[in-house]
Amino acid sequence: MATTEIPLSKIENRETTRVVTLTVNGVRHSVETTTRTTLADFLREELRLTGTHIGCAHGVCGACTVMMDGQSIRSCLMFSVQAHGHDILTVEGLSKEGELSPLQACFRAHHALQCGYCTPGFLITLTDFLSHNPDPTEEEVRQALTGNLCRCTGYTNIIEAALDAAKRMRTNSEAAA
Amino acid sequence: MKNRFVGAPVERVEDLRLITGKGRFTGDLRPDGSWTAHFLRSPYAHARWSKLDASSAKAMPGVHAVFSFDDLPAYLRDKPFPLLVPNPAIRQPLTFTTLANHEACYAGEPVAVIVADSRDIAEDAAELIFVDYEVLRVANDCRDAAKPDAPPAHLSSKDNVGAVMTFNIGDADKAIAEAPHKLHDSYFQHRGCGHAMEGRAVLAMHDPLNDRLSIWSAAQAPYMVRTVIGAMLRLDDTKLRVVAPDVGGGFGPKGIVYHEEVVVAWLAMALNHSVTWSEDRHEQSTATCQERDEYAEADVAFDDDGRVLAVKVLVIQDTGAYMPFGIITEWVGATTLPGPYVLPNYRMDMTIALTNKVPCSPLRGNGRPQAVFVMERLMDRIAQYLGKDRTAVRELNMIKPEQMPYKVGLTGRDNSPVTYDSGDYPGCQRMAVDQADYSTFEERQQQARKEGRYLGIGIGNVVEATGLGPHEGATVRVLSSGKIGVFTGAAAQGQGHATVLTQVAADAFGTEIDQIEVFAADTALFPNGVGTFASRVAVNAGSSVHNASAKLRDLVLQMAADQMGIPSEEIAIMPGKVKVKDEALVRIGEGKPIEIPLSQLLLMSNGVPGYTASGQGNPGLSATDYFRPTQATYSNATHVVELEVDVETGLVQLLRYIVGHDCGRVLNPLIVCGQIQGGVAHGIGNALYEYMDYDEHAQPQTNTLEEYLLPGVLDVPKVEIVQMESPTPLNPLGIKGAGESGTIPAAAAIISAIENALQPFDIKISRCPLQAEHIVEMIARSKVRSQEESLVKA
Amino acid sequence: MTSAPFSYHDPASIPEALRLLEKLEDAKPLAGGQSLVPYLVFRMQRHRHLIDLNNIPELSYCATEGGLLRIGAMTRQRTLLESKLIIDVCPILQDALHLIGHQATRTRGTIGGSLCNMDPSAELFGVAALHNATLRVRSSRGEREIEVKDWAETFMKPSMVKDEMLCDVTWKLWPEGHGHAFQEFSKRHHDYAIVASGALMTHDGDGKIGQVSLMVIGLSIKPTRLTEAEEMLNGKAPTAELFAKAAKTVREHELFPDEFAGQGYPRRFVSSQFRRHLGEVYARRVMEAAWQRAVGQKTGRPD
Repeated sequence: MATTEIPLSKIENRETTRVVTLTVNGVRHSVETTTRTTLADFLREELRLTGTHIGCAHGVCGACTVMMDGQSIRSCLMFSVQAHGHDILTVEGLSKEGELSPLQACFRAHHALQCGYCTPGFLITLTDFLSHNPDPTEEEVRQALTGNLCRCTGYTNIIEAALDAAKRMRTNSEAAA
Repeated sequence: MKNRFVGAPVERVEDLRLITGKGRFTGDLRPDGSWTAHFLRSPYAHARWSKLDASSAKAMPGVHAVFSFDDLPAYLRDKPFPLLVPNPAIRQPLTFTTLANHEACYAGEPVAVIVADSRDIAEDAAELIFVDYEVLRVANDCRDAAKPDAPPAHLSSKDNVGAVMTFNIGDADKAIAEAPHKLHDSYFQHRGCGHAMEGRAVLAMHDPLNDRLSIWSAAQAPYMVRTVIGAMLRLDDTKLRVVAPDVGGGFGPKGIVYHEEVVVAWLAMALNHSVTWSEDRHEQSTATCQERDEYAEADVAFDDDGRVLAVKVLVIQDTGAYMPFGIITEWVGATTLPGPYVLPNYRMDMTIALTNKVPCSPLRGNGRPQAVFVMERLMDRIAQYLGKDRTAVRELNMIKPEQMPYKVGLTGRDNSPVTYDSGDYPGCQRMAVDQADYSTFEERQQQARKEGRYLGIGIGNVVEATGLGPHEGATVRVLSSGKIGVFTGAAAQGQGHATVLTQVAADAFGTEIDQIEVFAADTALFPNGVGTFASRVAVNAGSSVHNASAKLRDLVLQMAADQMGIPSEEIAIMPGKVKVKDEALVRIGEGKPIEIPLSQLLLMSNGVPGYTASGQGNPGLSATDYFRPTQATYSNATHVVELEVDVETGLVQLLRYIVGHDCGRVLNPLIVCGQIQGGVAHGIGNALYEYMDYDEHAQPQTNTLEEYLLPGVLDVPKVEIVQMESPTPLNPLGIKGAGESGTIPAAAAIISAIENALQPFDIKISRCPLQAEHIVEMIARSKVRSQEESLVKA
Repeated sequence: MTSAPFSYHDPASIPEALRLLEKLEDAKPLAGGQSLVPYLVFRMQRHRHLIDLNNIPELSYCATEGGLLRIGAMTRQRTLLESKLIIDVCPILQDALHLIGHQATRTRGTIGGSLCNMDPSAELFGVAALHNATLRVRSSRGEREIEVKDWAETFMKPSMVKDEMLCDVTWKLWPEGHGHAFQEFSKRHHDYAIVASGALMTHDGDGKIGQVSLMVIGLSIKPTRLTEAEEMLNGKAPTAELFAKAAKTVREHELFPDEFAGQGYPRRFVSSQFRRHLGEVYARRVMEAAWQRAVGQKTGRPD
């Protein structure tokens, strides 16, 4: 977003609100918000997309992970104004027309979630990872998940779900080809 | 009834909403226009003040109110929270006050509350509140705090002794005096924080038309929340509804009732506006209960074979600045110490010291990890002393299956004698040890040492009391849709209770999984529940659901029999209806139905005009059962872990982790294995990473997730689980709890393995967590020692 | 945990950003945000103005020219990690990037942000030091170059003046086939580094070390180049004893000044003695690994 030259006198005013226009899960939104509102809070509070969770607000736990322009990011470490003009995908956008993505289906099949709080972050991280690594080893899946904390599951089933999902997606794309 | 679902790896009913982002966690529930509460917390571990000036804060746009203790109504000021679990051993039953009354006793204690349009405005306002804190002396390390001349954690206390307890079997002093062998050892343990991924959260709304206060809380025990809020706000339970919606992990700390719940509830009433509060990660370290330091001095006496004759332990434990859950953690620990072993003489003397730190509550394992650590380290010491194998010494001491039921000789936290009901401890240990290829380990270890690598193997055993009372109940009834509703108090924070109860109900009633709907953790829907802690839900709620579902089945069949005019044995229950079994079709009389939808049967039972009501039972197809366990039921596990220690860096790599497990009848193997895997992850944290640090002023130091280290994906191996089932005779399903045995002996087994790996350095390890730096230090000291020894010899 | 209020500016060009930096009081550039935003939400820092650099594409590039590698300050860590160019010409940067943060933080995190934040355990600072990098800063008044050894003014503060901004970092590439290794110690797998070490080494074709560059981070406020160790190794035939002796020189280097030793994770929880010990251990390990690579043996990815 380009700003034209603004006179310095105007810059000194506290420019603390902006209109943020962005696409979330394919839907365009235009909302005025304070500049200090993080993307995580914006999604949850302004757009009422509460599937993205805030676990720590300092970028460590990964629960807030969403996709921006096809890559996973920490929504708690971005201000929503920075997402202006960009394309966001949240957990609510993973299932198309009510049908679960292969990754979501595998999470259920493999008991890869217990309380479910960290799950959206894992799903997005893996969606990013698998889109760039369709045939990963178990070690590669583990390395991809270092930035997501889970206190319930002990991770094993999440890894198995990811590997199974990768397999299912490869089978689907081979069948489609 | 043949079981189709109980015992099967049924996919969870909770998952669909959670994987699509449609979970309903407390922080997600935000009525339009609700206000946000934020707490100003004491920055000091111990401080008092006379003046609190919030005038600037109140004047800030977007701020609706600021309250501190003096602003509260008299009924909130004149009493602290009720002590939920009293015990005569408690000398200073200190419970929370609604807000701190001019004295804060831990850094993080709530001093004032700000209500604003949003959290960021409330935080801006909090910065403008002036408090003339006078910093006071602190009670810090619990050993110092327990001394008579220590600075008091509370100004009004003459000392910091919160409780003193003694547990006794036989005569330990005499047995130790007369024993052929004895050893002494000292232990330090620290459990740390729960750090569930979801912080605590509360939403309160007052409905003036119905004169009812509704509260949603990320709580493990909504009924306890109702009790405390009802007591503090003087509200009868008809005026109060507490719901625990989706909760993102509990692990113990969310089982306490906190200031924030009472304050937010009161705010909703006082301001006549919905108010919400969510905890941030910093508050999780400084304002949410945790388990912390324990120091133990232990003596063990044994004979030439390694048979334990007596154990005597002196414990000082840190309980923090208040005792919200009394002394449950410590009691549980003390009564868990004997474990699977015959212990003819035992004495535990515990002093529970108040300190100026966050109060302690149960945390996954609840005192048992500490007890198991002591006993298991002593077992290792005996084996080392006698030059015997560690598993052999343990097996020698184990209670044999033929000795069940086995009276340990202690009184449990539920006030009943600790009696192990069932279990094959030697068999379970053998199963785990075999799975771990223990017999060939020494070869692997020798080979590795030739390559300059240090492998170790360790073992730990636990017997865990589960399924504690007082009760859990369920009402199972036919809903107007024709589905079966299960109403229960059992709250869930990820354990899959709804799924397990669905399986139990489906089997006991005789229908499909998708015909069952579970309504849990809502005091309005089921008034007499208790909550989730201590691995009690599967047993208690499961049993009551089973009983109630079976009763409902009989009621439904009887009503159908009356309507169809044939015996109930000739009628089948099918999804949504009852139907004559094929063979009996011919015997159905003129004008009698061959099938009736359950929704219609329900109407009939309620006496709809035109239908003859059955003379049997009460109107409405409903059955209620409360399962009151006569005592706890005991599950058991053996952990065996093989690992490698990098002696240059102190880093530990877990190579294999085996759990041999017996939780009686397994209701859902997916869920039980998930609990074990998750529990082990927590135990790994306790062994190697998790430490809630306080400085010399009792100021919390590890307040972010970069400083407080939770196990990540690379730190937790896949646990190999081998199971056996010793069904308990104590409940109709034969089940035992499974939530904590993944955690309880983990630290003991891991430390045992590290010590085994470092055998060439002749190092004894008596602490957890054990971090890389400790290991390197111990190795360095041992090298100095052996140099000195060789100098002396020379 | 929310940030204090600030005025937000999103310049679309470098001159615009510089003008804002010059004219505004208490203005902080916002790069990837992975370090800055936590400070803001903890309210450990607050600024009247944030200048978002993320809409200035001219600050993001990665190219070689005449044997030099030049990387724009806003180049994302993820971009560098996925860059075929980097794998080819500067593999140690790849080694280090694998250890930095996690997938999601590398998507936004930038090399410039890391160099300006100057966490004492910042891997990228260490890689720059290994290469004797030059950092180019600009202001409305012009531009200047700062050698990496002069980059640190004090604890977590680079030697730029208020109106200056880092534009890029440049260093000379090592010859094709050079040996490289980067390893770090963290308490938990894949955590923030406590101590890390990097080594670059060439083989002179005759069983001896040609060129060598060694550094350790986490001992002091900036990376420690092990110059005495480098002198010891230059032109020598390596042996285990030689590497061990060279690694011992870590003990001679200064540790954190006391006033900073207590600040920030992870220094508070690890004694300086242990950090020094780790520095020696990892320095030796990366020397060994770099040499093996230099002579063409595979060592596998260090962790």
